[in-house]
Amino acid sequence: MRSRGRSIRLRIYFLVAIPLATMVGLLAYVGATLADNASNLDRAADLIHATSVPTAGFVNNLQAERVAAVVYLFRPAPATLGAYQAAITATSAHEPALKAALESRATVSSETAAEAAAIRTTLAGLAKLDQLRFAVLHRLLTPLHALRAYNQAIAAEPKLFPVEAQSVADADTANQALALFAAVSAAEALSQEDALLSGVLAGHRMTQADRAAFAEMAANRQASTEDYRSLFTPANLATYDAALTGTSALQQELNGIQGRVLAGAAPRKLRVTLPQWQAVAGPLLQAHFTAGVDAANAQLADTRRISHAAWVRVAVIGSLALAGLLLTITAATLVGRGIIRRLRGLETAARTLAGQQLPDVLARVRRGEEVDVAAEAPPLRVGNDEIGRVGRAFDLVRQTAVRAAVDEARLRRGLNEVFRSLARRSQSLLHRQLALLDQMERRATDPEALDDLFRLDHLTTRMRRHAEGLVILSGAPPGRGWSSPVPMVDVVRGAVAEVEDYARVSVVPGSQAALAGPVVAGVIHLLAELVENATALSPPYTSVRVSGELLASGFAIKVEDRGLGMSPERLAELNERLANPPEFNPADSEQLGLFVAGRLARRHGIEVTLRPSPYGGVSAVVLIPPQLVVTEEVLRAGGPGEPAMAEAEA
Amino acid sequence: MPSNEERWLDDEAGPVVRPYALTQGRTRHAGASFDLLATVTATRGIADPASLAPEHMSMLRLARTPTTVADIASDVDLPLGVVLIILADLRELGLVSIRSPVPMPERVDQQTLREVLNGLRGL
Repeated sequence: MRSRGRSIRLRIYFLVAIPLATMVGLLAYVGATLADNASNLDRAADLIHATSVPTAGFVNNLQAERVAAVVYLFRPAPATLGAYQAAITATSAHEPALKAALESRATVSSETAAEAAAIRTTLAGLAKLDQLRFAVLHRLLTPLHALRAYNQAIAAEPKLFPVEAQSVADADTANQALALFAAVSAAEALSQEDALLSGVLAGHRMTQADRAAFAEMAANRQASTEDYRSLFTPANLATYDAALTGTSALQQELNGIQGRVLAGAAPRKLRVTLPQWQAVAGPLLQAHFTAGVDAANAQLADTRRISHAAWVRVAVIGSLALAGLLLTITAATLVGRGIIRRLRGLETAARTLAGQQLPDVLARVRRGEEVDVAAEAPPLRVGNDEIGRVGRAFDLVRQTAVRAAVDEARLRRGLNEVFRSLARRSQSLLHRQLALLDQMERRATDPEALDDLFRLDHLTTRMRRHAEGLVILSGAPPGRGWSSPVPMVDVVRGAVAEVEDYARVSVVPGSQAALAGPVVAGVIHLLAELVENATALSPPYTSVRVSGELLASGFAIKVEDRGLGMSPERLAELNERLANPPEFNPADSEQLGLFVAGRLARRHGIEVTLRPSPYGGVSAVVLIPPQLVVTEEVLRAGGPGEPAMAEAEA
Repeated sequence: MPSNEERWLDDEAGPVVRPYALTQGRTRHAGASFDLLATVTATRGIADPASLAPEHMSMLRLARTPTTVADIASDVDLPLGVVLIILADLRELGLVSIRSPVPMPERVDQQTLREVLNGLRGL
């Protein structure tokens, strides 16, 4: 089931890993973008909040200082100088707060590169203020130049807003920041008008350049007003306008004055005094400042809401992604485990079949038992998918294997029957021939004739033994049988008589015990095989000695040859064959005799052991279990059979 | 194939030991020849049952009283050739003596001949 050392589980993980990695990558990207956006929203709001309030306050002061400067330059007088110096003092008092806000750790840590640059510019502009103030105090500048220089200084502060607005990722928020900037610009333009007109009204003179500058400021204010009105969302615009309610009268008055100035009226023809003008411009500026702060606060609150929503999105998407990831891994693990469990089941079934079921069925079939193919190869239950199909294919293999085994065994049985039938027939004929020989031997008086008859008898006896061997191989009992015990010595001599070289075998009569009738034929055959083996293994000039002995554990018959013996390995191998006769293998006909002996020994519970003999040859010991042995005493007491001699003489 | 399942029980099975095996295939015995009429008599020799075959023992028992070979042969139910060799073996072992009967002419002793001669002279 394994190839290239990789398990199916690993392969499944591998398959899942690719889309998973892609998914994780995409989600990480989306999550990072969302988180970045959300944190940017947070940061921008924080930054704007941290910087706008001090900036606005400072700008307010600077605007007041500008008015005082322009007024002083138009009409240099101790009073106006005092006002200017007071304004400078007020502005300077606010400067540290602005610097602190712009350089605070919170600002530095949250600002972008562009914002940092804008803040640096603002701080640099602050440094130039002293130079400007010196020039104004020494009246080195015309009012208009001073006004412009102040304008530049003031313009540096609100410039921070568009930069900050641009860094905001959310387009709506950025737009509102721009709108706010436009509103601040409109207020600034109004403040510039205020400064110029205050100077003009104080100095009672107005040059053409002043007028042109005023026109430009009015135009700027108009444009900026249009900008913020179009950029603000209706909600923000409503917030902004709400702060302006109640200023429409002032607005109209301002428009009237502005119209007269633009129409080219001389300062005295403007029909407005400085205090009157200040009563119009001051509240208007204040209202615009308030409106700007309200709109900015509203926008900040909105931004915070958006950023909160963005964080919620990040959290939701993140947890969904994590859940998906876990679900995928769990599913892959479960599916992998399921597949592997089923494959293991299949493997176990295959091993059971090869190692257990098939050999078991074969053994039973060989023993002649009827085997039901369907019952022996029950179908594996492994489902209907591909693995299930492998299982079904495997079922077919099993059924075929079992059927083949059954067929083979049937064929074997058929062949067996043929062999047995043939062997039985020759056994029958040989039996009749031996009976005839018995009669002829009785009638023979001439030693010559008897000699020939004996030879014929010997040949026939040997043929009978081979026929009997075949019958035994086929699993049937040998043809001859005895109902009463037969003396051991006769059993041994009967066996010796069946061997080709019987004259070389000397039998020591020994014990008077007898062998139970039913096993006599089998034991004769078994002994004959061993004696035959012993004569075959020893040179013709040596003798083979067969002796018997009654033991506590039965009856032992020892067949000893005087040959050269065998190697211990060979002896061990033959002993193993005798103890556990293997399945009959027709190809191994050389060892047929020992095979038959082993089979007979097992059939009757007899132990046969080959061991080295002290004379150098092999000594085969046949141990017949006590239940098959009838002792002399039992025989004398007229036990299970007739007296020992009766059999031999029969 | 029941017709082939022929079995031969006890007597039908024939002798457990084939006759040739009783004599190791010998058909001629050693020593002086004797015939059916010879008388077999067990000597006082001690027979070891553990070293003698059952046939030897049974013939030895039959020869406790002088018995002719013909009687022994009919009692042990073995081919005559085999009986002769076993008896010869027993004789070799000194367990029996075998005496052939005196032929008719030889049975006429000197005394008889002398009596016959004296009778003739008396005529």
